[in-house]
Amino acid sequence: MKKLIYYVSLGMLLITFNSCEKESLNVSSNSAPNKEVSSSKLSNDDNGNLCHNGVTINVNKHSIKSHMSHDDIVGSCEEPLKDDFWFSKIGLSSVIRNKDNSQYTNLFFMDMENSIREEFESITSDEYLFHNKKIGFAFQSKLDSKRVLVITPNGKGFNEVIITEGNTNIELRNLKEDFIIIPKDSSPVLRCSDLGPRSGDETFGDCFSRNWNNFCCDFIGCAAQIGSGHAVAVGIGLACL
Amino acid sequence: MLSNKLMLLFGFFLGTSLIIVGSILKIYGSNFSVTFLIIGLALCIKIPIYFLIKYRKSIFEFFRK
Repeated sequence: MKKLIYYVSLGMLLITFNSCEKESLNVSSNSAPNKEVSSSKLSNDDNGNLCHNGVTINVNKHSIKSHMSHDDIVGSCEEPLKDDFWFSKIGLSSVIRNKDNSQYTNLFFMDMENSIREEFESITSDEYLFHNKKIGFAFQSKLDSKRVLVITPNGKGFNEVIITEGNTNIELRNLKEDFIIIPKDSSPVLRCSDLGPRSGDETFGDCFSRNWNNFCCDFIGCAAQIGSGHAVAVGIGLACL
Repeated sequence: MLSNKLMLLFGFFLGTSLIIVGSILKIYGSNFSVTFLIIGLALCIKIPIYFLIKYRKSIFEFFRK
């Protein structure tokens, strides 16, 4: 009898919870001002400029991968450094280095100042990756391990940017223009919209880490991950197969 | 009639299965995932609560010292 009462009360609790969730969804979709606020927030946070065949286009970050396969360049064609969002993402998450011997690296340094040549010039360059796609070259500083010179083609020539990683911020200095400082984001935003099965060329590991890192995007996801992580891991693994 | 421990073991496996299904549904964006995850967690959490109640005297004595 006690068990029956327990299960009935649990079932009622669940029904109440689900209906509350549906009501809150309906309210947010029906009220126009809320919708506008959320959409403008999305466009600010999730969109960035790409240089596509010499023309600047504004795209959502989720479509960046497909654009990169067409050799598009991050940033606008005219003023690539003005787009803080994309450069902050590059500076924070995508300085992944794979050694790549190149016999043409001296061409990059032909017009540069002597101080920069002395600090960065090398016959070996690193691949500069963004979303696992090579978009340029990176040269590690010989003086400071937290300084990298990044050279990316922009359709007309090259963007030459020195990325210096500090304790609280990242400094991006364009050799041809000015420099900007971007605060480090120590707490990455978790999004339920980033959850999903494996896409076309994504590896199992990437899919698993993406879903695992974003699973705690709401209360119940967090509770499940903390309370029964092994079962959640199995579920994510099956979804990513 | 199944013994208490066997029921707990059965509940644990059922709870784990529900959490696995709930996780897959959550990844695919279904709202039913909430229901599966809550029931699964409730079943899995029963085990530590059971042992906490069963050995409460020993636990209290351990912390008194």
